[in-house]
Amino acid sequence: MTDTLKSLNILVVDDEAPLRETLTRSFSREGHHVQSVANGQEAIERAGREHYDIVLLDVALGPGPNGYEVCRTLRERRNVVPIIMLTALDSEADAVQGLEAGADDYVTKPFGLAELRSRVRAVLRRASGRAIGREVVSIGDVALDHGRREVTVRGEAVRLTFSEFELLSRLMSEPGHLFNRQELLRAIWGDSAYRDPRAIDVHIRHLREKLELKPEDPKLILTVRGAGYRFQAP
Amino acid sequence: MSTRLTGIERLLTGLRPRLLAAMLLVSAVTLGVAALALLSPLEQRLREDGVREVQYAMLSARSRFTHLKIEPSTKLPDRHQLREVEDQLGRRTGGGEVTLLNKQMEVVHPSRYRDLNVPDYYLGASGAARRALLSKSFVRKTIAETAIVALRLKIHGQRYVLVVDKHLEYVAQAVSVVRKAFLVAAAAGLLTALLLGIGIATAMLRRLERLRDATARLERRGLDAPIPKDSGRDEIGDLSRAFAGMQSQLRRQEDARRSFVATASHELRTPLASLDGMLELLEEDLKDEALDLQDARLRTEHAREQTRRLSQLATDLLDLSRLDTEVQLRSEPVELGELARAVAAEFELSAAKREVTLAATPPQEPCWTSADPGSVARIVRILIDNALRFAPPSSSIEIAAGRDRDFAQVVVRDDGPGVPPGERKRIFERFTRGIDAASRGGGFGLGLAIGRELAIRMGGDLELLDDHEAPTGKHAPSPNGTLADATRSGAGTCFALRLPAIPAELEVAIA
Repeated sequence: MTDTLKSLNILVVDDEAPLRETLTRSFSREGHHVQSVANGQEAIERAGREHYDIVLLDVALGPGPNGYEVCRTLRERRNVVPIIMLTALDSEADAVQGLEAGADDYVTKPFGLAELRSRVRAVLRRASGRAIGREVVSIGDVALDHGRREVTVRGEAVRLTFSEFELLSRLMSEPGHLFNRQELLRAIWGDSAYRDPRAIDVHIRHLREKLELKPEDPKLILTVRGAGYRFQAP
Repeated sequence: MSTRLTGIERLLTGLRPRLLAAMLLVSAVTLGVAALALLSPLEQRLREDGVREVQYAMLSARSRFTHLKIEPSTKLPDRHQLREVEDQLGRRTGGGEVTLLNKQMEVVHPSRYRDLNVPDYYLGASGAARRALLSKSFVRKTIAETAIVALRLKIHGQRYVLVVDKHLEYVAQAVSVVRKAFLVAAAAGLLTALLLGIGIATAMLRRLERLRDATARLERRGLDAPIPKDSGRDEIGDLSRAFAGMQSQLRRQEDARRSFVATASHELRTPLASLDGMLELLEEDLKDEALDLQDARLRTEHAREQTRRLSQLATDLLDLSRLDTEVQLRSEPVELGELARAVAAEFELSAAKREVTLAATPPQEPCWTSADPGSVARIVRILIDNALRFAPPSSSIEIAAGRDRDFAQVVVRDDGPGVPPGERKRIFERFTRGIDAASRGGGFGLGLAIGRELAIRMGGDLELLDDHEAPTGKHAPSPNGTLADATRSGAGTCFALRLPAIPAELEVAIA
């Protein structure tokens, strides 16, 4: 699997030195460039200064901004780097809180390194692997360029996170078709692990905020109560 | 909510009908009692006054009757004079009829206006007159609405009876007017009571219903339900405020619990994640047969570090949960000097590794307290462990037992960076670590929280001493002055475990 991926830049943010070191070793061994920082402020500065392919972000970061705040700050600055939260809490509410803050995915501690690697791969394979097609799908005011991973709405470029892009891409692949949340989860992550279906609701809300004129009265991505979502056919 | 009242129950047994009924009853009883207390005496009084008026007039007219001229022909009082005096008296009594009877009970000079055939009157009047003939004072009698007053008098040696009868209808009329007024007042009063009752009951019920709804919301939605507000200055307001206070308190506790669980699970799962990762890497190396021995040794050491942390955390969490469930602590005599020395000895090795000296100063005389020995040892261990973590190399940690007024105490101080002023209060909260604590290896910020709770449970306290509070002079537990000198330098941290001392006279018995 590894050989299909190029060498990546990974940022590890964790206040626990042993875990930082373990993660660094594990990903370095796969041939990636890993940088690690111990606190939230430094993470925000690093991510703003350098390009990363993925950020592994712990929630509890000691003094200063915590993981959620780091995530929110990066998203507010229109930074769409894929973010996987490392959380010690496995309640659904905590998971959703991370996604609300703008994270793409979350892993609950203690996790196996293999599991974490597979999640990273799930992001990166899609994020980098579609360059061949270069197809552009255009429905109404929305145009989605798979090759460049770019979306324009009413002629203006919109920056989508990894999961938002994958979600929109799936919805636009069959306009008018009703997708249930499980299908949409698979569209983003493949079959790598179980995830809370509520994650989809969070991503959809973020998408609407970026695409719709009136997010509270959506015209593009429609909710089918109790069933799922569909993209409005032109 | 099966306990809620149905519509019919509300009409019959709800607070509103009960309040209304009570108000109406109170108003009706008040007015009824007032009517009874007023109307009957009023009637009595008016009648009495009527009769008394007649009596006064009769008394003042008496001499005129006795001095009437006698007609020589009939030997009776002069007819014209008598008529004049009678009319005068009639006017003075306010419309009374005046009659003069002789001792045979015959009317003297009957007038053409008088109809003496009315049997009641005549019977009544003649009866009263007959009795008056034998009595010196007035004789009174009331027949229907007529008052009859008779008085004996002598005219030129002959006995006569003067009779005045007066209609008292005006009394009944006056009483009837008052009664009517009372009825009007009663109607107005009851109506007011009814309206007021409905108003007050509705306002009160609305507030009670708000409170009931707030309780139902709390049951349904949990502590995040909005807190009810009622600024009324009465019992319902008090109840609402008490309810709101309780909800806020529960919210705070729930927040504290949530944050405790969040932190505890982070503290538990992070070392587990590291451990798991380290072992996984080692396993991969073993599988690939690419094991670097030096590297493996280092990683095993790190892994053991993590397991030590986890077991420390397990101990701390168990201690906390024991404290939270209020497990009974023993209470027996403990000599703090000996205990501090023994606990300090446990740390000799780790202190030597860090090039720190442990100076346990024995007290001048035995220092007894009544406490749970295991818990005291635990607190001293927490303090020394904490000091070791912050003490710079080649410095010294002072451990001194001694007495301070009514307390037996153990003071532990180090030359570390000290506690910043902003952290001094928080340092005893759960999962509060000093700055840099993470980088100083171990420590979850539970030790001091456990220590203080244990100390308080044993009737004492665990305190962070200010520089100026640190023992000096006569209360200094260490007579050689090292502690006091070091404290004055201003650096370092100084904790005091204080427990109630056993008085010196009892110490002898224990020893």
